[in-house]
Amino acid sequence: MGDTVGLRGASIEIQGLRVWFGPREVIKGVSLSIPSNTVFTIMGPSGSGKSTLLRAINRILDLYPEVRVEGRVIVDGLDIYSDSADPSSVRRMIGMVFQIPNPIPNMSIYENVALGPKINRMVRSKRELDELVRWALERAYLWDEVRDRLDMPAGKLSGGQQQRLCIARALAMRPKALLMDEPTSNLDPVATSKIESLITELREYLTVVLVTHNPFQASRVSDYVAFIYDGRLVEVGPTSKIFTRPENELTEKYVTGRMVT
Amino acid sequence: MDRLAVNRRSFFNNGDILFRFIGISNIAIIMTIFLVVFILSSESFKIFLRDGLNFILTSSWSGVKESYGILFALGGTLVTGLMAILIAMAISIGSSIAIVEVLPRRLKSVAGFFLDLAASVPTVIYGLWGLFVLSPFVFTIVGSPILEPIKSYLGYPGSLGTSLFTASILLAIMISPFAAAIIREALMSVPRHIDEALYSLGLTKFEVAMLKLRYIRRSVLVASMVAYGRAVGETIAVSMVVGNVMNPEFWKILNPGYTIASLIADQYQNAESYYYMVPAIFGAALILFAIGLLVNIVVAIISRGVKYGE
Amino acid sequence: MGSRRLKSYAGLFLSTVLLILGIAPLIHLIAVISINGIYVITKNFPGFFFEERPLPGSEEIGGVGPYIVGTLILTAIASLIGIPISILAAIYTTQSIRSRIGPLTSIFVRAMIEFPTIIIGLSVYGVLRSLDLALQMIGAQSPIPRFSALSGSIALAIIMTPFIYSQVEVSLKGVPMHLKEAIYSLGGSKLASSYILLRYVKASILAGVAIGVGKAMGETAPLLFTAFGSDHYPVGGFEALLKPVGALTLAIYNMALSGYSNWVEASWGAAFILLSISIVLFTVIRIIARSG
Repeated sequence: MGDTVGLRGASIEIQGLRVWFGPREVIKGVSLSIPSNTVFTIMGPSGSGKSTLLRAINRILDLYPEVRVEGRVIVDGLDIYSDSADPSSVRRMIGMVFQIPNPIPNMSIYENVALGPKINRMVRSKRELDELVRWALERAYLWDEVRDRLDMPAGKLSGGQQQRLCIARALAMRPKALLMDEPTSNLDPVATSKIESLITELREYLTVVLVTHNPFQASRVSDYVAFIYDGRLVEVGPTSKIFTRPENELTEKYVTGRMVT
Repeated sequence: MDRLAVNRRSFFNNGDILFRFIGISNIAIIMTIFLVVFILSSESFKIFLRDGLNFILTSSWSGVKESYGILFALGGTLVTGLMAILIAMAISIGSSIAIVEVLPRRLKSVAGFFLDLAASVPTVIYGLWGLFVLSPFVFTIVGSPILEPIKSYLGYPGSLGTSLFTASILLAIMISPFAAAIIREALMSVPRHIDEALYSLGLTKFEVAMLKLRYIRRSVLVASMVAYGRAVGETIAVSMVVGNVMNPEFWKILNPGYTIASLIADQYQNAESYYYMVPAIFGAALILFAIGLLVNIVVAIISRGVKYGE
Repeated sequence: MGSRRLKSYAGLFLSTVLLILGIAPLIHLIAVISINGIYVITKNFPGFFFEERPLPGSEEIGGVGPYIVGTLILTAIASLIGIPISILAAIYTTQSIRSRIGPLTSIFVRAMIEFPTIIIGLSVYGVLRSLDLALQMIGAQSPIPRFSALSGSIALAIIMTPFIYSQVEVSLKGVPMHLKEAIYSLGGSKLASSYILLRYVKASILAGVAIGVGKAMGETAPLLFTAFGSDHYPVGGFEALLKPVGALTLAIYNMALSGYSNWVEASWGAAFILLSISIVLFTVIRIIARSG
């Protein structure tokens, strides 16, 4: 406990994924291979369906009654949409961080991080919980700033700190993968760069799937990039290739900033 | 210690079966309402079987003669409700305009505080005040010689000042806060740009207020129906000031009378002694239930999609 | 332009007059009840809070002790029944994804809000009476006598439920989607996640509960046929729940209409107590709602 040795990120296979919001098809047959322990970015203009695609991976789409999903998502060999899969188990394996930092404001910093482990009965003693909280906060680059005020309400932190707190909250679950939905789009440049360097470290012990509408961010932090447009996968490949020698015209337009989003 | 969450299943996390278990409370609520309808219908069946529509269309109430017709009470309910609504709407519209357009900031919340407080005072306390303050007041006013000629049309209150009219006034006082709260909120949620547009046309404050009222007219309608529902269902306060005397000429509102609710409250004690009175009481309750339900349904229909400023 | 402005001033003046007309009765009511009530209580202080009702027509004021206890018992048991059912039902409605029972519950609850409470009381009476008669036919005894604290509490619980349910439903529905997603993405069961959501809207729920409790405390009509009223202190532990019980509201109603001057006087004192509790509760709710 407390180090990252032996933690391995999950590999994620998306096969023929189609998602409907009521009558509207939002994801129109996407297939992707996300290798383990990488930072895999899904980028595209707004409305392209990238956030929906992300939400299909941890089955948080289940919360929407009007959503229908077809296809397979296989995490470390497990088809998470099979009839025998339990959505809660899936979410314990795969954490998520959101565009708007959303800690529970009147709960303390400690309680926020401890939330997941507590309700999932992950630890057996307060001491273990303390260690886990500290580990998560350290990994999220937040420990040094809050170590003396763990009981402070989380709402009093700055935006960047709150987002790192949310990352810590997700990490406390010791997930195999972390989904990040435009995590820095509401933050200032300093906070953004802190989190971007944090992301590149995360790949050591888990797989990061990042959604961003900012191609520059994608080029800074990712190993692989997939470009989604109008619910379809246009191009996917290693970051350097996508940004220097894109094969598709749409991709080229997007990465050179000529696409009106 | 790794990946504990996936391997260990705690009791809490058998949760989703447990979650479905909670649905029992929803079923309890739904069953309760069905039970209410069922018991009202089954207990009143006897009287409707015997009298049919006459139960609603005639006026009588005698245990000894086993004769029951609630027209006088139905009339009382409708008449007091109508009068109360007319007065209450004037008061609630007026006070809402005053609060939103006239009053300075500090007084706004004070006035709102008192209006909302008025809505949460227990009804029996209104009844007490009505009985010992309002009724004598009505009695002195009505007793004045100026009003002599109307007596033949409108009747005369009981010795304590109890009458259908007194009940209407008391009801108006009690239901105004409810209507006022709805109208006030609607008025405050009129989008700013409409406000500004109207003023920039050079309209006076009052003219703007009237136009805003027109804009929220659906809410005004909802408010009146909600208030009417309250008036129709109010039992205790009414029972204390309405006189509880059978008054087949229920349009003579200065006479004491009955409403359906006050009839039930007043007569239930005798009910078990007579064969048909218990069913009659349940029959009256069923009618009241129908009126209340109708009002709530109308409210639900009108208020569908009432949203301002989106 | 002059006459338009005049009209405007007149109209606004009229509105203000109507506002005063709307508030004045309340102020007068509070004043009269406080003055009379305090006067009566000081006549027999502090006995008024503990003693029982005296003989009618006598010189004594006596007290309203049994009724205060009765109100407390009825409210407590009604809350015990009503609060869990309302909150759990609202959780089920908002957190279940494809349920039909959830929306159905909301429709029914909306139909029942502010319903004539006398009908509820009468219905509870009717059900218990039928139950009693049916069980008598097979020689058994009904577990809930029709005139008892228990039946009164049931009636009050039915009345408080729509208020609490609606409030919890609205608060839970108002949680922004991304927060809901964040909580569920931690992988807890629906139950555990619902609990966290509840904690997030704690203040709102507290306000709703307080409103429901306030309603229950102030009701008279439903108790006429259920709790029925009693002038003595409830005794005997659990058995006391199966016997009729008094309440402040019932006592005020009966004593005020009785015509006996000492009872009428006592009703002012009781009214003052009830009014004070209501105003305090109302203010507390206001404060919670503002802070939350």
